[in-house]
Amino acid sequence: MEIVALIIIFGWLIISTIVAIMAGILKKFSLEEWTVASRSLSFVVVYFAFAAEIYSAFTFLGLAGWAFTYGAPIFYALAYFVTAYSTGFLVTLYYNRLARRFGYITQPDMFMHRYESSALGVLVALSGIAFLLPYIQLQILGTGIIVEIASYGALDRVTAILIAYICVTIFLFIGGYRGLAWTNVLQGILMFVAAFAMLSVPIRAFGSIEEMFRRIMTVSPAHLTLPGARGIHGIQWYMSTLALTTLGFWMFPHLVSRAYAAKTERIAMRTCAWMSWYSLLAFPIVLVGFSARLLFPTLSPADAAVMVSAREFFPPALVGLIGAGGLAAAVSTGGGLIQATAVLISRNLIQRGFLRGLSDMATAWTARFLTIVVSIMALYLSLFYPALLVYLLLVAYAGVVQFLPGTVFAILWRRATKHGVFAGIVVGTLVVILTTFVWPDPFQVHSGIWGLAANFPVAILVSLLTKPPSEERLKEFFAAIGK
Amino acid sequence: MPVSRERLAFLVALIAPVVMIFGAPLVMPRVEPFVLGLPFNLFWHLMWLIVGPVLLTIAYIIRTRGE
Repeated sequence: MEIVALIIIFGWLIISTIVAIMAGILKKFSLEEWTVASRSLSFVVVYFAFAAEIYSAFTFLGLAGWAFTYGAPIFYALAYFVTAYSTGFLVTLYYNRLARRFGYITQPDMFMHRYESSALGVLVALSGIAFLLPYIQLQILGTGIIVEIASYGALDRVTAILIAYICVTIFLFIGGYRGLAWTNVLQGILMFVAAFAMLSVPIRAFGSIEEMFRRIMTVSPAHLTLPGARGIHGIQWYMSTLALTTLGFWMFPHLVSRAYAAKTERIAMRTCAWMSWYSLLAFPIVLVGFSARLLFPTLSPADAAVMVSAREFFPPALVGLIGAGGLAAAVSTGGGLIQATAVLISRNLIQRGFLRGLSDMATAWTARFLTIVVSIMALYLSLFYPALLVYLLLVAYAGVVQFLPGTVFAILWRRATKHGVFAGIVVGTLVVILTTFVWPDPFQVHSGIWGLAANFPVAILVSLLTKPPSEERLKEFFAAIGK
Repeated sequence: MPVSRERLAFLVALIAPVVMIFGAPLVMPRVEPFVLGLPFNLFWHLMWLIVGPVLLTIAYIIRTRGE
């Protein structure tokens, strides 16, 4: 009977692959089509494509793992699933508007154009690529955990990962971003359904959710407040991490490009406005983490809480559905990150870096083939050098948030210069590395906040001492945003 | 678009982040009273997941109406 679960999971994977290929194959291949779906996506597609790409293996596995291990500190994630969309609401319309006007397809495109500096474009691209890599690895490892448990051990981790990512690479190659977006509509719906199916676990196990929390209060009250069960997540940690994720969310290069794919800027705004309702899917996952604390106190790894609970309480067919939901979460995000990385390399390191004059068509083909290279590289690193990327992950969020001054100044401060923004990113990133590895999170304040505290003044000071971009460039840029 | 309308939408959009970040020291230590079967601090987060989009919808209407 266990084989039913496996059939459902891989059946779903095959359907997703076909949908992505069908969506992309009908369109004429071009750089703009393959990277940002010709800026033509409608509200429903953008909404679910964002949802599926944002909510990842971390949402499906990690949230429960955190609730299991630390308890209340994980509420910070529920909080930024609200606050990050407030910032998204405010910035994505500018992303979309500027990209439409000036033909941007990546985040570094904006930096390069606004500050008249290809060096700055290359720096932003390099830094973005370095910080996306560990997230790809997380999705790959998450895929392994989900399928291994959901298949009742019938399929080992490595085989599961290889099958899933071969499918992803094929559909990205053919379908490009349009294919990914359409398949993510399916993934987004399944993830939501699967997450809410998990709500029945604590209710069946304890009679009610209140009863579950009452029992946690007696067994481990530290799980219900800060600084959490391990005593390391104080209120400063919560506030600074929430502030950082709120500010940093829309600095991730793949999400910037997604805002470019919306047909109008209003679609991008509405998507952000209503995304927190989709974020409700995180809520049952957190509850399952708490219930696992009582039901399987010796669980290891903690990230397996959702899948182990499903296997304990559901019949194989439903375990298959939950597994497919988890796989959907991991693959939709992993695929998006792989595609975005390939585009950053071909567009900003090659076409606008060391091989100037490469045609758009050649760049698009390069990006296509790079999806294969990036997938293989990410798989190789994940399977053979998993520890390597752990260090990158520790600084990833804090690292991308260093694009914030350059992004905000682009829209608000004419006097900002390429030298200022460049110096700010370099100094900010160095401070992040120091406050992560040498003096970890001084005063329990997130390293990214320390990075910004250095980045902003450096960017301002150096800008004031150097020559601003040409008057013509500033004029066309600010005319485009209506100021 | 008059600047004041854009500014108003901006302020409405900032309500959730400001209240959630700076309200945390007051809310996070509270487990009691339970609301809807949830510890108070968890209920607070669930409430914002629902209220947040309502605020942003208001900001959206303010910003785009009459354009």
